[in-house]
Amino acid sequence: MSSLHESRNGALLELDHITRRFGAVTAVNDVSLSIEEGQTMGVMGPNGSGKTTLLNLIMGVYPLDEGEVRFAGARISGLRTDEVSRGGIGRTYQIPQPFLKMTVLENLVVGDLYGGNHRSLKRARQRATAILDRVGLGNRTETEARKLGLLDLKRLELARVLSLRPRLLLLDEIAAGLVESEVAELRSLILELKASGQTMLVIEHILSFIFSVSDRIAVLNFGQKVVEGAPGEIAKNPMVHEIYLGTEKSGGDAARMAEKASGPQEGEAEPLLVLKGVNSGYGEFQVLFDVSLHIPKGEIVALIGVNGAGKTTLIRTITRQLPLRSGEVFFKGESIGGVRPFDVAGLGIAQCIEGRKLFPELTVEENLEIGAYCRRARQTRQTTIRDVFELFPALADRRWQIVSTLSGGEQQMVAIGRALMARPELIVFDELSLGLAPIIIDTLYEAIKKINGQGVTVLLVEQNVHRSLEVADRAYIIERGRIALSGTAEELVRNDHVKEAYFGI
Amino acid sequence: MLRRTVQWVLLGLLILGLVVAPHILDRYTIFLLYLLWLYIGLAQGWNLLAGYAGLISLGVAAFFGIGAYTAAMTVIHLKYHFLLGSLLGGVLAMAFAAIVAVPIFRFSGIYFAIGTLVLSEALRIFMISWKFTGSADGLALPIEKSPSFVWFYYLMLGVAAGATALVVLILRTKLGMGLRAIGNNEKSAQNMGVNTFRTKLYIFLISAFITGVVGGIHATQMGSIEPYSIFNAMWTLSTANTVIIGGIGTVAGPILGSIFVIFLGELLADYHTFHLAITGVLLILIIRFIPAGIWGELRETRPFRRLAGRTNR
Repeated sequence: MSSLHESRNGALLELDHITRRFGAVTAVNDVSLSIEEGQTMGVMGPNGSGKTTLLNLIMGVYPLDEGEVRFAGARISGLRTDEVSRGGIGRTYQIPQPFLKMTVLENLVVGDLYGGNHRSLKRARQRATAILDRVGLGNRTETEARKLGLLDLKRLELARVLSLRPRLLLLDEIAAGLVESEVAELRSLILELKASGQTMLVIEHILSFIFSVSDRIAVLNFGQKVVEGAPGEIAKNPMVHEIYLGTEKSGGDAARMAEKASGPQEGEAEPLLVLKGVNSGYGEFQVLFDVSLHIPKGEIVALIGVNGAGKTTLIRTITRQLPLRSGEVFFKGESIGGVRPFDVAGLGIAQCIEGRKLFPELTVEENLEIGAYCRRARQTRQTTIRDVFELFPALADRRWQIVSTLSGGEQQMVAIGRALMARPELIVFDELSLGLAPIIIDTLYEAIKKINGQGVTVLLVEQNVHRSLEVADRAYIIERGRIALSGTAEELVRNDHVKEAYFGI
Repeated sequence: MLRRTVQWVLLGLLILGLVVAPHILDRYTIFLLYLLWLYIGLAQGWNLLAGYAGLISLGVAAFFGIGAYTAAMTVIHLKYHFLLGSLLGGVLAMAFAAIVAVPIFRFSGIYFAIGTLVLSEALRIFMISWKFTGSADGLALPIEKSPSFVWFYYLMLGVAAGATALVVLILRTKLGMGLRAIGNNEKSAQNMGVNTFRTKLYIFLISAFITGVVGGIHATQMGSIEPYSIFNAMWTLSTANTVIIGGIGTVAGPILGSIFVIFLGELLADYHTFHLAITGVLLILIIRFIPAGIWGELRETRPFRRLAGRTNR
């Protein structure tokens, strides 16, 4: 379809073998992509696959290590962000970044004046008003941006870049965090733009959204472009399924299934943690709706869902970092609704947070010691540390090393070790495998099994469906803040709804 | 219509009052008013940078001092009129700002604040030992050249009014929009096409100019200057203090803050030892309970909301 001749004349944006490394991690690895005038290019890939970094490289937020970015035939790599923006590329942020203490209208006036190189505030106001009417913010023009709700903030984020009159729009997860009806509304806005001939690059986790707005889709994984094609092809591509649902560990599947079948049956073990009708969220923005679940003592329970489904919010609610709006949380039969966040560890709940959140300037051993801060763990600190080093021998050799100098996998081991140091009865793992190589994920999952074997109950929160169902006894699928499905791991492995939740097919 | 007329009449009365004031009031009160204008000038200059662009500068004394010394030196050595000297003071302060802008803008937040503080302290120490400017003894200006005190009143009033008008004007232009965008979210401002370095530079220069001119006039008014008091960090702290109390990031804030601080100082003049302590406690209370400052709080209330309008005055 795209002969050499066509791509040369028609391409508005060309990424020519671009690479960017952060330390040992290659965030974007030799990616080439070209978007033609009037085309909508979707970019998808799991969390940490390099999508947002790609946008940052186009916008000149970071310099490229290798390769070149061309826009309308001219090289733009090396330009400052504001130059790229004035040159005709408008970019929205995943988390809206409005000028909070300026009015909605003023937010757009800035873009109009600078992006369009205009001087007259009066005419800028007129043009801005027209855009606001178009995105449905016509009645909020004089409201300060900080007073807007999430949907309006997303609309504003879109309206702001439109005020730049960009030839190319880069949309980063514009629908993330919205409820279904709101997603539909934004989708129709995007489709309107598309119909008017706007060229776009769309990053989105809600796959049904990206499939419906894109002309072509590129899939990233570990910073590399894995495949590119029409939405229909991508939705059917087995490689894409593998990336999103995770790979199964080689060979072990059947054996594990058999092993699990003889494990504890439903309702047999006493529940360690129980959630009843939990509603929770941030400010005006409700994330969890009437979530109930129970985690039996001694089991591994997986909580599965796409980005933005509410997994991390659920953990924060359990660990008391977010207040309950309504509903109850019971641990060992007692309500923990009134427990203070820093007392949660003392109850026997430890968590291994997404992104690890280690103390980067401290050594491995110091990081572990902090994990044993609560009273129940302090006396046994020395023995627990030995247990951790037994579990991860690699850490024993590096006990004096500063944590920030470790590899990603080793840091994840420290994070797991630190959680174990609290001698928990329940340990929560949030996105354990995020951004790590498969071989390291194998090691970590082996460790989880060992930990569980010693009697610790595990709540495993993952995007990687297959991996987590392999080790779990039971799983809950969470979709847009609601428990969509639950059952034993065997049941769910065979259930097509799991695939649906991800691909909408 | 009527409302408009009333506003104009009130403004006219205010101007008339300010013009007539030095001919009715006693010398001490005139001096207090002169100090009030001086603080309003400094506060407007500082607020432009800190309140709108979010660049907390602790280097007010540096630009104030450069203005003061330039005015004094040109009057003494070049026999210029002190008005021209003060203007030159502003220009030189601006030139100094231009030179230090490139390195200092590499810092942001608290580091920018410390960087500017270091700058002004370094300058103070340098001036103490620089023979050309009279080192630690400072300079004395020829008395016969000094106009009457009432003229300094008018002059500083003009500077305060001019600085305030300039801020209002800037806020109504593209530069003002870019400036506020940076103060709200610098990364996002770049993403919206704002050349943040250039915008910050312009504002830094304007702020330095205002501060320099105020310094120049004040030096002439005092008749003699020496580095310890001219480059004293007190200028910086009082200015910041004034703006924070009045309402940072608003036009009326620096004015209300200056009135409040001068009035308070007068009220507590007999209890010298308590003066600073009480000001300190007040500042803590204001930051704790009304972080937006007096005007920042008032403009959210009904009678003042219209007055504040939409351009963040």
